[in-house]
This record gives sequence, structure tokens and C-alpha cells, in this order.
Amino acid sequence: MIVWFLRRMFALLATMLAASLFIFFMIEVLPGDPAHFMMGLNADPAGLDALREQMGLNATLPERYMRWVLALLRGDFGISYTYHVPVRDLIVERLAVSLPLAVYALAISILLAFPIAVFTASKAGKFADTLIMGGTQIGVAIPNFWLAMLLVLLFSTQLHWFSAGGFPGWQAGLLVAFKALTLPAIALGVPQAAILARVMRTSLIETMGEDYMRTARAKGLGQLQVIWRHGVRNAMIPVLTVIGMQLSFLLAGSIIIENVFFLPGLGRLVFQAVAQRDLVVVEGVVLVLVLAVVLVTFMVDITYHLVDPRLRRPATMRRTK
Amino acid sequence: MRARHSSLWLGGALASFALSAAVLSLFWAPYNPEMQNIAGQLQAPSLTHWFGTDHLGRDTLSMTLAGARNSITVALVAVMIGMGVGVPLGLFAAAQRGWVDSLLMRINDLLFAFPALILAILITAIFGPGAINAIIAIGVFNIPVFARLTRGAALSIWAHDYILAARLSGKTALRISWEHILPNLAGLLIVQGSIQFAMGIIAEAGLSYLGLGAQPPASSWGRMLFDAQTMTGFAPWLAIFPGLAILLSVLGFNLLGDGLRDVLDPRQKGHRE
Repeated sequence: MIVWFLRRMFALLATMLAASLFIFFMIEVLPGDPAHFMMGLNADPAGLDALREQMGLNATLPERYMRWVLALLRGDFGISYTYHVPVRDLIVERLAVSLPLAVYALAISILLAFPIAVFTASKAGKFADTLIMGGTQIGVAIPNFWLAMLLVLLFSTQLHWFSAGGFPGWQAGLLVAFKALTLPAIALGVPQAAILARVMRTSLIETMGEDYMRTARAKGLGQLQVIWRHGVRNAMIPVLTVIGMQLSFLLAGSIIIENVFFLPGLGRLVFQAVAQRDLVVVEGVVLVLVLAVVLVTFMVDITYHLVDPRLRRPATMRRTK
Repeated sequence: MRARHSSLWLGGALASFALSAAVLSLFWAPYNPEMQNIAGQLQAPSLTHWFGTDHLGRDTLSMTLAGARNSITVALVAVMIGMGVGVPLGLFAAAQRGWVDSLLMRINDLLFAFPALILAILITAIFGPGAINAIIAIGVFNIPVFARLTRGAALSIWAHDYILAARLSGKTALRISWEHILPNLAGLLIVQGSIQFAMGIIAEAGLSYLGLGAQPPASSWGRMLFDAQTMTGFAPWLAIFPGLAILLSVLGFNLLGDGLRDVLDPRQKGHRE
């Protein structure tokens, strides 16, 4: 277990290093002169020199990369070209919206998906299963930003239950802030719930063919009880993978939804930074989002081992099962 | 047959409808989708304008048809990029094994760590918005999907006896990959192609919504939804029709993928997730 953990830690660090190299290459090498790119065609030479100096562009590429990584390790992401504040402060401020939104949407996804999966798995092949699974196909296919527009049309424009967009900030009170995040979280969470329900149903149906499930049924437990008590935990491995992928997607993929609802999140920040050619911000936010994805994947791997004791056994024992 | 393969039939019908709309828009549309008529702006659906008109008086049905052409072209080329690069990479990794395989798969993992939209934003940040860059962004995301799938399936085929026989007859790894491995992967690749096609339609719509895809005056479903956003209260048709077009096309290609998988590889039925 310790060797496995150390190996995974090494892989995690290697991936982070490779990701930082990739982002550095994309942002600082591909555009040619980043200062020229950011200031546009009509930049005056003095302004260009000042920006080059500020961004440290006069050094060689390896020097610039090392300086960038060392600064990152100190928590220094550079200064935004358009906002004139440290990028770190911008990221922290925007994460206060994006992170709760992602977690809220994931909670909606899980809360919807689990009962649907358990119910349809218990009715596999029957009319109710076919009908609900047909519904999840629509859920998978629906673009979340279109769903968001329909939600606004119904709950904001027609019923006036929620505001059509904006975020009052956490200082306005927890309830008010969560209310502002509710429609965006539903728009993000419902299509994810459809995917998760389908994965979990398939996994549950596979698990239900196992011997220990037959034993549980033979003991006299009802179908739903068998699934809740024995099936769900054993079906969790693929489900955890998808939950991990969904958290990554929700963290990084809420750019469009943040734009639909005018939420001051990380996605909107990076989107605006692209429009304003603020490469320092783009570089910082993309790095944070990619590291979040890598970290979530790592945590999912660890959770596998905690959830499924079979994975903690040596490979030779697993084969002789 | 129809009842057994309902996904295939329904998906095939919806996908064919989307493809037909895209092809039809090359030759015919009720009106020029770029023609503005301010006097006739924001008309509700009627016999003269089946899907109504937008704030510039453009015919929404004609724009939806033109949007189908844009979406389907972007998704198709992006799948071709993903297959064209990913499949040879996967075949090469499976044939070489060892450090070449490890290196290619780690690069693959790295690309996978970049969420599709972030990758697309990075690419458009550097090269600028536009339909071509949207195709590249979505295509680049497809590469690791096809590479990983091809490598995994190819590895299992390499273990078969007939491959051993081919090796003993002196065929090179490249020739075996081309003559024996690739034909066996065709079904799997068609299924995955259909699924990536559906994802490509959603991704293109998302990028266009953000203004990073096709640029005006070209029509795109995502751009139509962006324009409709502030008008849904009094002109809901502007959001409903392009949204339905995306939903039905994606649903069609997803169901087609499911149906094809059931037909081409019955063992995998219900296992796509």
C-alpha cells in the first residue's frame, strides 16, 4: 500500500510538472512575443519594453520557466495586465464562487442519480426502466447552457422565483448566495445526473449477478434492500470514477454557465482574460484548473483503495480469487 | 428487428435528419439566413416564417438549417482529426510496447488532464476565435480518446494466435497493424466516432455561444442561443428551435452509437458508460 501510494505520488508530481511545461509552452512560446501579443499591433515600444521587463521576458526560455515555477511555489502567479492586481488574489476571489457552485452541482447530480439508478436497476428491462433510461438519454444530450436558458425562462421570467443572474456575494448571507447559485447548479447538475445514473445502473446490474447478492436474496431481503445494503458499495468503483470526472468537469467546465448567469467565477475570469489577451491570468487560471483535475483524479484513486478492500490485496491474491 | 434495435433505428433517423438538414442547407433554405429585414423583426412562428424571425429580421428556420451545416462540419472534421492522429498513435503504441508505449500513453494522460473547454480556450487564446480553431480544439481533445481506445483494443488483438502466425510469416508490426489489427477495430471506432461526433456538436455549440467558434455572419446554433439569451422572455422561439436542434442531433448520434455497439459488439450491450 505504501509503495503504491509513493508511486502514485510520483506520478502525480510528474503529471503536474508536465502540465506546467505544456501550459508554459502554449502561453509563452507559441504566441511568439507574449508582450506584443497582449498589447496588440499598435503597441508603443516603451510600453512593450516595460511589459517585457514586468513579465521577465528578456531572460532565456529555461530561465523564464524556472523563475515562473519557483514563483508559483511561493504562491506568486504574477500581476494581471488588465486588473493590475495579483493573479493569486483574483483566483482566490473567483474560487469562492466556482468551488461552491461545482460542489452544489455535484450534490444535485449524486442526489438525483442514486435513487434513479437503484430504482431502474431493480426494475431492469421493465417498462419503468425503459422509460426512465430514455429520459436519461435526453438528459445526457441536453446542452447545459440551453437548459440554463429554459430554467431562467420558467423560474425567473415567468414565475419570478429566482433572479436571472448575478451573484450577491457571500456577505449577503448564506441563503441568499445559495439561492443565486441554485439555477446554475441545477443546469450543471441535471445532465451530469443523467450520465451518473446510467453508469450506476449498469454497474448495479452487473453487481446483482454476483454470488453474494444471491445469498442476500436467499436470506430473504427484498430487491431494494439487497441493492442498498450490498449492491451500492460494490458498484462504487466505476461510479467513483465518474463522480471524480464530473467534479473536474464542473470545476473547469462551468465557463459557459457562469456566462449565462453572469457569475463572477473562475470560468468567467479566464474567458474575459482571453478576450482581453491577459495571458498572465489565462496561464494562472488554466494551471489551477488543470492541477485541480489532476488532484481530483489522484484522490479518486486513493478512494478506490479505501472503498474496495479487494484492491488493497496483492495482485497475485486477486488473481486467485 | 425494429424492436430489438430501437436505439439504432431512432438514432439513425434523428442523425439522418440532422445530416439531411445540413446537406439541404447547401442547396436550399426558405430565406437567405444572413439577410436582415428589420421591418420584420421578432415575428412569432407563422406560415411564412415557420420558426419565426430574430431581432434582425432573419428567418430562424434558415439560420437553423445553416447552423446544422456548421455544427456537423465542425464535429465531422474534429472526429476525423481525432481518428486520423489518435488511431495511428494507438496502433503504434500497441505494436511497440515498452517505453514508446509508456511515453505515448503518459502524453495521452496529460492531454486528458486538460478539460476540453479549457483546451479549446487555450487554443483560441493563442490563435484567435473562429470555426477552424474550434475544429482544431475539439479535434485535439478527440486524439487521446481514440489513441487510448485503439491501444487498449489493439493490445488484446495482438495476443491472438492469428497475429502470432502473421508474425511468424515475417510480416512487420506496421503491416500487421494495418492488415489485421485495424480491420478488427473498425466496429469499435465507428461506435466511438458516433459518440465523439455527438460530443463535438455540443462542444461546437458551447464554443460558438462563448463567441469562440464560427463568427458572424455565419450561422451557428450556439451563437443563435447567445443572441436569444436576452430575448427569451418575449421571443422564446429564438432559444427553443436552435436548442432543440442541438438536443435532437446529439440524442440521435448518441443513440446511433449505442445501437451500432449493440449490433457490432453484442457482448458490450449496455456497457458504454
